[in-house]
Amino acid sequence: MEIEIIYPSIKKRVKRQQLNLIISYLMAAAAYICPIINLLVGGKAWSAIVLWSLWMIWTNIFNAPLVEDNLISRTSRLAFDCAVLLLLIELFLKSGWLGFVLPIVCFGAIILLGVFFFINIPKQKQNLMPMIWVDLGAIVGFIFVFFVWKLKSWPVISLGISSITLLIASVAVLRKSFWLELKKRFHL
Amino acid sequence: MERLLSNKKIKQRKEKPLALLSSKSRFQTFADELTKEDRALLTHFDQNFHQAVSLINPEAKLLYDDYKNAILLLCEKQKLPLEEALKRLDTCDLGGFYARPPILWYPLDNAAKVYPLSMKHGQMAVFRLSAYLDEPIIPELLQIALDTTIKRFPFFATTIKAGFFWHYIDSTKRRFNAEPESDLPCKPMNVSISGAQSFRVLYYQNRISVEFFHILTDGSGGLTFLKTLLAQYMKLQGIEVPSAMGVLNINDAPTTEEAENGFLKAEPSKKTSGFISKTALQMSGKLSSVKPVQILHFVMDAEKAKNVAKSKDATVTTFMLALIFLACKYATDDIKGRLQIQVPVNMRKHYPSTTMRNFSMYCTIKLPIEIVNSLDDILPEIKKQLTEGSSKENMNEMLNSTIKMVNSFRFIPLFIKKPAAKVIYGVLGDAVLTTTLSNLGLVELPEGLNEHVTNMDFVLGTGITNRASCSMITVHNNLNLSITKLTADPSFENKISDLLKQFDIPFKVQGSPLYGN
Repeated sequence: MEIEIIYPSIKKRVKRQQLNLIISYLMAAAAYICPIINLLVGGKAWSAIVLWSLWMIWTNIFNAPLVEDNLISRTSRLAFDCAVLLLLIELFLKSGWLGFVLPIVCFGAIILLGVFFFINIPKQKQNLMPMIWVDLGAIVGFIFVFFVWKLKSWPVISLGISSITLLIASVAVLRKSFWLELKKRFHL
Repeated sequence: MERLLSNKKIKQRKEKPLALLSSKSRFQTFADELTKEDRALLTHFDQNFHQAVSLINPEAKLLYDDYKNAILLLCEKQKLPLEEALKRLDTCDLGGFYARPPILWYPLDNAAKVYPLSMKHGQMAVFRLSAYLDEPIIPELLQIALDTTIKRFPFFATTIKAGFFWHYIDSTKRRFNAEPESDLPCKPMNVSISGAQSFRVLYYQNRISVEFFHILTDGSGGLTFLKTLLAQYMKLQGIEVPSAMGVLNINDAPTTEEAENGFLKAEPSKKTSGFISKTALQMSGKLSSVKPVQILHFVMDAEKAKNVAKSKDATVTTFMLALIFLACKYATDDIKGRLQIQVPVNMRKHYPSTTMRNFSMYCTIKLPIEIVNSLDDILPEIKKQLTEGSSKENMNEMLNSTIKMVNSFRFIPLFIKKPAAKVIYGVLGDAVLTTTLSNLGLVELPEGLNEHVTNMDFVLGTGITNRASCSMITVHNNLNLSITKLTADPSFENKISDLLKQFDIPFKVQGSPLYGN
């Protein structure tokens, strides 16, 4: 059968795909082997931290979300992943510092998100929601740590002030658009 | 004028073609050489442009460059007087689209809801419509045609977003890009970045193609967009095309009905039909890692095909389905099981609607492989199943099933729905089908387009395990059967070719090289 070619020839881009495949196999192997070694050797559950770290690399680099993978959502995701990682380190490796370090990391994330948002409001207002989730998480965390846990360190206070300020500023700047954004996000 | 003439500060994007990189100085030189009257015209044009565009940079600059490139092309290459060039590039055609902030958003229609849930890296429901013109495409004019046409289709000027319960499309104001074709047809799109577009406009030699992520529209809506884009492209070349036969007037306001969810038109019924079916036989060729591995177009004599089908007391769709069944049998090593071909049904036939969104359902023709021996054996059964399956009653049941399914999942958050849908789709996938045949039917073109469009084709994206997906479109006397392949095994298309020869239907085969080989 004779075919008249009417499409352009395509440059080969197989290398990237193959590299991704090799890396994903290596990561799967590491995720499989580490818990076994940890169980056999005993001691602290360091493999939980390895597993979460592999998950972080996988979801942020090799299998990033197909919808809404923008500056704000990436930063929000990374902030959440880092918070969980710190929590696991506290739980399984060394304890006693989480109440100080975690609020600093979250405070940093809130500031960074605020900068990304306010630097280009017309464009970023459509990407508002991941920031709001992180912000609400930070506010809930602050209320719990400050009022229930009674931990009144400067990182906790900074986190509380920055997260509440960011929420108020977002509502004040966007006004109607803020509520429209919520309406879109929660439509049925 | 000052902005047009002294824009040295404007930095061009790195990825822009060389021709555009030099256009700034070329435009400067061109403007310097104008007469006083022409400079006044250009000043007036510049004022109108800046009144019509209030995009944020770099989008505004890109749009601005589009117009500069088009002016240069029309005046320098096509030797048009500046007045005539500016008349064709009338900024009124931009309307208020680029001057207003994006406020519209659209919930997905019932059919579209599944696409973002089931997509994964390298797998996306994309389809493509192409038109072949009698002359090579002029990229500068195609870009302007897109710049002005998009405002008539506000639901295409959107970006996909993830809500708490469902995805939705949010309007985005940017300069949408017409680009040279340089990659695989129906390649998955990157819809994740901020303001990403969910469709592509491509050009190659004398072909203009539009590729849509199915979330936006179906073949019918896509065809209206392509026709309107072509009409605008022709207008820029001085050829008037009336707004008829599916060509929309770009300066009319979009109607509410065009963006409606057609599924809500279903007549309430207690009868529903299931979506789950037994797995179907697949063609046996080895699956390719490159998707698609090849695109083929069988361009046939439509009149002859129609006559042959008529002689068998069948429609063209039924006849082609029979050929595909025979070719599927030839392309598989299995000797037991069912061959199942999905046929999308345009619901606009049953429920009059002008919606540009998805409004198609489907019926499935199922035949045990044992009985697929000759055309005459299977035609009556295909005809029967197609008539029953695509009847209004059946389609209404399916519409109701879709509505019920969507309603039952609506309170489940997306972060639960998404992995669940991925698992279900991963297990079932397209294994319930052997292939698909989507027929867009006869395309009628208004005067102006009719003389310049020589052919059209319609291409479906690849499935997961289906080795081939088939689609048809007819324009002039060309019946174009396109096959999107997922295997290098040529058995399927060779059998189609043999069968067409057997029935004495004249055809030629066009297509792509084997990718990845």
